Amino acid sequence: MINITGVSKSFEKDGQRIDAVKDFSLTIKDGEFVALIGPSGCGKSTVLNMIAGLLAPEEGVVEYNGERVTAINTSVGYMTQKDSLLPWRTTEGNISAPLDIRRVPKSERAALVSQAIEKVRLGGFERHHPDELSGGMRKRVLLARTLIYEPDTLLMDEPFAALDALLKLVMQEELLRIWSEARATVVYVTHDLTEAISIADRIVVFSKRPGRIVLDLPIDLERPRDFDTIRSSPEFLSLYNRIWATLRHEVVSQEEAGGEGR
Amino acid sequence: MKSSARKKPAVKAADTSRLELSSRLRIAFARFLIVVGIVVAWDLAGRTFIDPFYIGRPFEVGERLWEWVSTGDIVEHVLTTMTELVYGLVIGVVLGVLVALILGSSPTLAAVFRPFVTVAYSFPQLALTPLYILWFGVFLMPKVVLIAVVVFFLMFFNTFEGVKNVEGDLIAAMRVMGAKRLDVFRIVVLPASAVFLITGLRHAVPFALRAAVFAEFLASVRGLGFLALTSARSYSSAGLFAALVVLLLVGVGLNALVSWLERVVLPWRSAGVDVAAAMQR
Repeated sequence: MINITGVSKSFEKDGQRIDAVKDFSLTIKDGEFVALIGPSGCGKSTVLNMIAGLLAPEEGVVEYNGERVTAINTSVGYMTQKDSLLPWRTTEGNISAPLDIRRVPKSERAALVSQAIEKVRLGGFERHHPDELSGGMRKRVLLARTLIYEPDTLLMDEPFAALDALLKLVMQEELLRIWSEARATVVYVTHDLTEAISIADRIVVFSKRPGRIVLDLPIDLERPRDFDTIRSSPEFLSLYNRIWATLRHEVVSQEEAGGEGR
Repeated sequence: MKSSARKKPAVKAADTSRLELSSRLRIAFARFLIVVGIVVAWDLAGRTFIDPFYIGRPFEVGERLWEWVSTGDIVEHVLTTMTELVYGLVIGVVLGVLVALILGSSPTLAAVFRPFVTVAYSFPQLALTPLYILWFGVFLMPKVVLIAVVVFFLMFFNTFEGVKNVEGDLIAAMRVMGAKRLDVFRIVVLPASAVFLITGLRHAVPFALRAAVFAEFLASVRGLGFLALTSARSYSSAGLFAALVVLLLVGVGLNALVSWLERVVLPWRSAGVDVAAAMQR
């Protein structure tokens, strides 16, 4: 359970104070797959960083499982768009980094790593270095590395944004398949509405900066979801239109305010 | 996904190891022809329009080299310069990397000391050579100090910038996984500095050689720089060019040594991967 109550956070940019989020509140239940969507720079990533404990709110409280987050939150796994693999470590070495950090005995690591590699379907690439892998494979390594210590919450900040459209689809399906087994809570930041509706249980639409919630909608599409058919179903389209009407307004007014960056 | 072949990074322009044997032979042959061409042109120039007094004759230079090698006269000069280089490089590299790691992992210390290092670096290091000679005499010591100073700055800036660039994404990722400061150092900073060590060495080694020769020009009793200078002073162009050829060989040899070290220390990099880019990705 993640409880965000009345948080505010601002940044200094070019000598100006910019409110990323102001008096923002959100509650996420265990096992929920929530997509946060909104215009660029609306504070979505700021919220993730506060849940991860990388940023402290100036006002308000972030609680994780009833405890206030004041330091790095090690119960979460965090995957961003950035490729943070260690170039000198192989696939295996990269995936076992969290085990290394958590002092898991070496004898237990190998089995866990090979399980994780199987889960993300990277068999045969155990001893490759990141530079010998394709973009999609590197994402799989990152995913395996995030999953290997079985965090109860996955924070994902546009994890597949750098991939081409087709590969992105494949990775979304992989993520859902893995999630359906692990059943972790997922907080997924994106600005791709189709992606958000396809994968999430609930969509939270952010306003332009400073981010507030302008729409909080359950996505009750049946699971498991078949991406081939779901996207042309009438339910999908009506959800899409409804969310887009709200989102469009925010994106347009953000553009007119001339705001980029986050 | 599984069936897709192992993706090979782009081959560097100068890396011929991945080419077919026949084209490698052709390239080697072309290079050989160029060397022969240069020597022939040199010889012809000396026979036609340039007085060999100024440029020597390839044959005489070869003769002089052979003489030095067969009598063993060259050994003490090579050893002298190599000793200066080894001591200077070891001291400069160790201090440069160490200071960079310390300043790189403490923003406060870095803020305090960085301007001093930058100012000291802006100063032309070679200009201090007379001072070192005044302090330490004409033998090994002033050369070692000069080389160590020059190498120190190159290694420091390379490693410092590198450590700073690693900060950020990689480290944030590790910290969310639960890494403490020491874990970050052990898992990210230390292995990354092996990369900076090698890139730093690539820059530092040629500079070290230049510094050694320069210091030997100013004051010395042995060494390759001394050999070149005394040959020039006695108007022996063959001796001068022979000394320059030996210096060339030493430079090439040192570079090869760095390449070898790179393959040993960073085997994952042997495919010609651009590490700086990989780390900033």
